Amino acid sequence: MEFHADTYLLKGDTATYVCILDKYSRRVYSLVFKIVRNKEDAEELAQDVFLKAFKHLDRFKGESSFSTWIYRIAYNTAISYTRKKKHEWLAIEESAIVNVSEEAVADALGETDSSGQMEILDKALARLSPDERAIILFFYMEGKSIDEIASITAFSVSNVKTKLHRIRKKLFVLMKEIARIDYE
Amino acid sequence: MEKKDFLEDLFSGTPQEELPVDFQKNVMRQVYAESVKMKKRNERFGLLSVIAASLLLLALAATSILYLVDLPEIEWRLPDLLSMPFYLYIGALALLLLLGDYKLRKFYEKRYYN
Repeated sequence: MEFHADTYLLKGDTATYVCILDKYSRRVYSLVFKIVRNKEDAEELAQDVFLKAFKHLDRFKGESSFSTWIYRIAYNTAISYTRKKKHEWLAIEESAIVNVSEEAVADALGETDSSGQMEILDKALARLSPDERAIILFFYMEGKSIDEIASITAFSVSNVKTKLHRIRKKLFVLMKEIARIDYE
Repeated sequence: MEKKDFLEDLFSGTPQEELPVDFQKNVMRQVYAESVKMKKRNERFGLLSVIAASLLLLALAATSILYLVDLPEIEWRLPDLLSMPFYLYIGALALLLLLGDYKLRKFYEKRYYN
């Protein structure tokens, strides 16, 4: 059941906002950090997210869940920041993405221990664009559905499905390459 | 049997980041500051709306009186200027008392309700 603190806050009980922080702060900070890849910037941006959410609480009409709404603010804040910073990420040819299967990657990682696999995943995520990182994180880490991701990112449902498919393939390529280089 | 998602297994083992020290405290400090700003902004907006509405009503009343009501010719005479200092004194006193009343109410509110 979603927490409807907004009604209390609209009545002026600002102290209730700490309940929203308790529930969402770690998840939002974690997500923003994984998108922007810098602790200090992530802290500032995450604080910004909650301040924006507080300022615009009256705009939450309950059309989506509260978590979807706050993740939308977090996504827009993080992506705007990365666009200003103009990070570079790896572009991969389409043919390379299509040719790598999940089994091939599982095989490549098979002999690596779990912490090694996490490290490979983290390095691969770092090479994705911020948009791509955000989508894959929403899907796998936050357990958001395609519809919810579409609502958060303002992409269409079909666009999210296509992007998710491509990003998974891209991750496979990157992880296989990193596993090959690091563990040869 | 549903095919296991290899990435799902990997991501499920990824821990969430620890919050920086004092994160919630910093956010709540900013939230309280913003809350005070919003309250003052609403008060100012409320006051301006009341003034604007009052002026509008006065203007409507004056317009109605001037154009709709047949007013008799009024002879304008200068008031007795000898009494002017007395009237000014009473007016200034009234304004001072009003200001004093406002300040006392603010002080009382701050002391007993905050």
